[in-house]
Amino acid sequence: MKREWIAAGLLSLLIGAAALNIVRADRLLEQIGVNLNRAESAALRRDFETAAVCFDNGFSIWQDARSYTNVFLRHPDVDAAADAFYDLQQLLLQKDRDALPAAFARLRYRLEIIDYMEHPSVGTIF
Amino acid sequence: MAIVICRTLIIYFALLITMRILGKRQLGELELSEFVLGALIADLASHPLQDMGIPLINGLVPIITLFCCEVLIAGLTMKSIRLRTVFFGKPSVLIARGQIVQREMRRNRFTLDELMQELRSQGRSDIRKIEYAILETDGKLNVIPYPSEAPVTAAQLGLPAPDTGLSTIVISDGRILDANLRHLGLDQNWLADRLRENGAEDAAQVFIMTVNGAGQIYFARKERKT
Repeated sequence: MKREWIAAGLLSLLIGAAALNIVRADRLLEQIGVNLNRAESAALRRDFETAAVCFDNGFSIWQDARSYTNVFLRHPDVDAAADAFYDLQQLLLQKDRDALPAAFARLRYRLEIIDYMEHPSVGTIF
Repeated sequence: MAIVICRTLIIYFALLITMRILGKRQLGELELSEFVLGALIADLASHPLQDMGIPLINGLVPIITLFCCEVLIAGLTMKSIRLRTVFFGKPSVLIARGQIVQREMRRNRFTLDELMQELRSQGRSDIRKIEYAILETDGKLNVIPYPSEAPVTAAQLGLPAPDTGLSTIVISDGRILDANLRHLGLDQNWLADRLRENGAEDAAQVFIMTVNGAGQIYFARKERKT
């Protein structure tokens, strides 16, 4: 019976770790989202300095979580999000106000996909 | 991660149910859950190795989940006969008192050719002489002949049958297996005497030496390399 208890414990541990992973992903993407929202508002007001600072904060949070993202998330999703970050950064430096909303939307979509894929639902499981 | 666990559980139980419906003859000598586990793990482990875009954890989590399922199902089916029937089925009697049970044959999708092949592989060809043939849950067919057709035993003939016990290897390819020697209650001095009796100077010259419960020795010297 000892083996069965160990297996049940291990399975519970895995389910617990999966739940923690969802919380971790939610928190990470929420922190980035707050900074992106601020950056977008500032950019639309043509305050590109504030927008760049807010964007950098969000990007730093993403980069600091590299070990987490590489271990727990699918690498193509991580790469796609990183590409979207760099595209947006380039547009912010160019102060291209017209192209920025689409770039923000693309990055948000990439991050939402990552978050969505971490939540068990009929859509993500099947 | 949660999705990986959910998907693993769904695939595991889907395969388990599918294989259960397919029947015992698909299994060979594995129990149903062992077969499913074997089929899944081999494939799961290879994906993160082949595709660097898949985190290793996505390969490890399903394997650990499957391991837990297997241990839990094995434990639960040991406790509950009903659960064991649900997961592994029941043995099927294909021949009862010399008669083929056609309903069980159909239920297990067991053809006459397969039945005859199994019987022949066990040295039987006349169904009338078989009291029972039982298809076990691991897919093996066990054949029980009528007592009048069963091999005669020493007890039936009233002959003495000395119990020689289990043969244990004490020298394997020139190496002395001390643990086995101790287990038999023997020592190096005894071994040295036996080697001398058999014309060997030391253990290095011996390919295999076994001792059974009655103290009888099997001795084979190493062949000279040509």
